[in-house]
Order: sequence, then C-alpha cells, then structure tokens
Amino acid sequence: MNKPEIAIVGIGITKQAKSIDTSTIQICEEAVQKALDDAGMDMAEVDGIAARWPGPGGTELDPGVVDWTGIFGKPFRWVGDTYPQGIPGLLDAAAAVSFGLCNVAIVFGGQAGVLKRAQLADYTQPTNEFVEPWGLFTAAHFAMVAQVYFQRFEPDRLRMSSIASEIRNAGSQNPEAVMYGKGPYTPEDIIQSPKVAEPFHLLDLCLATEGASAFIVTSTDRARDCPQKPIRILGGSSEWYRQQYVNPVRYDEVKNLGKEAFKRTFKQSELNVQDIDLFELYDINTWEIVRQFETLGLCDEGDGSDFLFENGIGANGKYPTNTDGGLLSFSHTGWGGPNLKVIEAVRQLRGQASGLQIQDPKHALVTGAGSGAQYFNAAVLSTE
Amino acid sequence: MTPDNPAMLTTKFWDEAKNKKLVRPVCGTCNTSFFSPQILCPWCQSGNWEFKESTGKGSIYSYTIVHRPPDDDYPNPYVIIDVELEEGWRMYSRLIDCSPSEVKIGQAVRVSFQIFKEKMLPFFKVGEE
Repeated sequence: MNKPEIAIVGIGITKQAKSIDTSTIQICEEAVQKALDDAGMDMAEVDGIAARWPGPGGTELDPGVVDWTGIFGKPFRWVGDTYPQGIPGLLDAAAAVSFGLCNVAIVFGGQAGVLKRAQLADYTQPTNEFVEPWGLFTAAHFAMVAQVYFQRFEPDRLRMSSIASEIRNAGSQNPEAVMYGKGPYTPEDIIQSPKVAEPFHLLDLCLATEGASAFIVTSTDRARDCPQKPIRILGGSSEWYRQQYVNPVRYDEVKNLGKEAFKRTFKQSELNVQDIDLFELYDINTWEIVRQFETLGLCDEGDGSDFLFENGIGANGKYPTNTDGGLLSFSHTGWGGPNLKVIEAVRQLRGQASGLQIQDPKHALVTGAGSGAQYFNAAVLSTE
Repeated sequence: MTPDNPAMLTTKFWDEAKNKKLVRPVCGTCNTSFFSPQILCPWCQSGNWEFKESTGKGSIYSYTIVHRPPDDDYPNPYVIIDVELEEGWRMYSRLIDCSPSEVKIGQAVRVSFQIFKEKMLPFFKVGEE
C-alpha cells in the first residue's frame, strides 16, 4: 500500500436546517455547483460520480446513480453506487481516479423536503419483519450496544455527558450549524434532557436535518492548478461486519469495530494516532465518541469518558473533536450526513472553518458509521 | 427444508406464531440454530435446515427502555430486548407486563404471545415459568 496521489480540491455545502422547503435533487445540485465553483472547475470536466438517486423521476434499476446523467445532461465514465457517500464514497472515488477510471469524481448527497415535521425520520425506522414489530429504530439499536458498556463499566455520567456538551457547544458557536445559538450546554443539561432510548437522552443523540454537501476528488497533479489548497487523502479503510439494523447487534462483537480499519488507515498514511491534530468522528450518539477513542487505543476499554474529560475534546483540548458541532449540533442529513465529516475536515485543514478554527492542523482523522450499524470506516486527510 | 420460493422463507415462523409456537431454523448438517431465517445456514452454508420449536426460554443480553413510543398502541415507556434463547440463537423482541425498573441484563425471560396491531407476536415476560 502506498500513499495515494489523490486530493480533495473542492467542497460545497448548502444551508443546513431542520426542514428545507425544496427537493433533494435541487439541494444536491446546489451543493454540486458550490463544489465546482470552489474547485474552479466546470461540470464538463467531471467524469466520475458517486451519489444516491433520490427521485422523483428516473428508474428504480441499479446503478441508480446513472439517473443523475439526466439532471447534468452528460455521460460519466465512472459511477459509484455501492455506498455513494462519506468515507466509502471518498475511497471509491480515490480508487477510481488512481486506476484511471475517471479523472475527476464528485461525491454528494443530502435531503430536502422530506422530513417535514416528522418526529422520526423514515430512514431511522427500517421495515424489516423482525425489527419493526418491536418498535425498534436506529437510536434504540445503538442504545442496546451502549447499555452493556454502561452497566459493565459504570462510566461517570457527568463526564460522559461532557462529551455531548463540548460538541454541542462548538455547534452553538458555528453560524452554519442547525443548532447555532442554542446553548451553551452543561453536562447536567445533557442528563436532564428527556430520555429517548436509555441510556441515551435527547441531547446525546444526533440530529435529523436537511441540507446537502459535495466534494470533488482528483489527482494531486490536477489539484496543483486548482485555486484552493489541495487536501490529500493519505489512507483509508472500511469494515463491513454485518448488514445493519436486522439481527441483534451485540456489544461484545462490535465494541472494537474499526480497529482493523484504523490500523490499515494509519499504515497506509505512514502516520500514527499521535500525529492526528483533528478528529472528525461519527457522533451518532455521545458514547460512540468514547468507543472510537477506546478502539483507537488511546485509552483502555471502559476508561474513554474519563480520558476525554481529562484531556479535552474542545478546540483547545488535546483531541479537538467534531469542531463544527458534529452530527449532534451541526447537521445530519440522512444519507448525506457522512459527507459532513469530510467537509469539516477539509475546511479545518484549509483554515476555513465556519465555526471554531483549530490552529494550523495538518492531519485529520475522519470516520463514518458505528457499532450499532455494524460497519465502520476511516480516512486520514492531510495538508501535506 | 428450505422453501422453494425465497419469498416464503419466513412464512412458517409467522404461521407457527399464530399457534403461539416460537420456531427458529435448525441446521440438519451442523445442528446449530440461527436467526433470522436465511436460505443457507450462516455457520456451515448448508441448505438442509428446518424450523423447530424453541422452548421460548432465554435471558436478556441487552435492552433499552424507550420513552418515545412510535404511536399510541405502545405503552410509554416500553422495553425492547435482545434475547439470547437457550438453544443458542438470538432475536429482538419487547418485554411486556413488567416495570422498567425490573429489567436487568442477564434476567431470565420466557416467550409470551400476544396480538399487537392485529398480528400474533412473540413478546417476552420476566421469569422462567
């Protein structure tokens, strides 16, 4: 494995909000245009695409991503339809460019006009016959994994909650965050928020919001002519343990999900975790942050919340984490949500954060998915 | 035997539930139970399996107490459990007729069928008998 000669040269992000009165296709197109402008490129140059086809219109046949040719009025040389967002989308695009399947790939996603004021987003309530009858939903799957940890290790609840309050307070100060201006929160506020699926309270859980984002991937050669500082992808890897949200997922099987992906990512990047200046981790809930730091090997199983409380995850802490407010406070746009980790890492590495800016970060770790989903992915992005 | 039509893969599970019987696939080749039903045994990839009745006794591997019921048919709060059945297979269900404060990891539970939204479902109750 060598460090790939691949970079992100453009990012685009639309307004993020609880509900946006347009369509998913329209808001995705807006994010695409912003990413192209940022990269100094025209759509004519883009010959690779990874994005879900949301409809309406188009076909139900796979690969659904080809339906986007009807919107952009042009053919593509490469389409990525396996998991066309977040880190898997990024890595697939990087592989496609490396192999010459395309020269410039765009990855995008998001949603608009779908959530309205639903209490729960549709995509969090799978309709499987062995899941639906029990009133199961995504947060409850994750809660059952976390419950074992909470009972086995009895973490200090205030220290655990301080992870949520830190991340949410970063979002409070970020004008682009959906929860901008809300808070500040104390750890006590997190515990006092309504219980949703124990051990999680409302403020432990990620948002379900609307908005879109896009990023453009190409070779480091092509990146030299782009207006923005190129952000290199130094390494990345995925773990697919089992299909998500069907059969029971158990703490003892998934507690270290990501360990192998981290190992391969750091090896390919020729870095180790101590070299990371910035952590943009998938915060579907508070505890997943703890689990990821334990899986990274920075602390022992059961000690994560104490470790993070003592070292700090805020902008001035030892491990700056989810600097935009994360999925807890910035936004979580359904299948477009995983892209947001990449967007914030690129902004920080460029020195263009919309909220709190970390001083001169060089290497960022970005992650996606988590224990309850039974798959996980990681990548290292860098200014070097 | 696996059904000829994959769409019928889980039909027997629900048909037996109507008679208040909890069944799960048991592999005739490696003799292990698995769940949910699949065309091939996930342990040995044999297609030679059949549904067999479970004792319905097990223990709670994990649970969550949910305070946001999807609709008014649910009590508030309600308890979702991940049950380890004594034949060595697992399924999600709901724990009924209990006070949420009674729920514990490792707690013995037994199946208890009840009609919910016009369908006979294998819920569980606290206790062995």
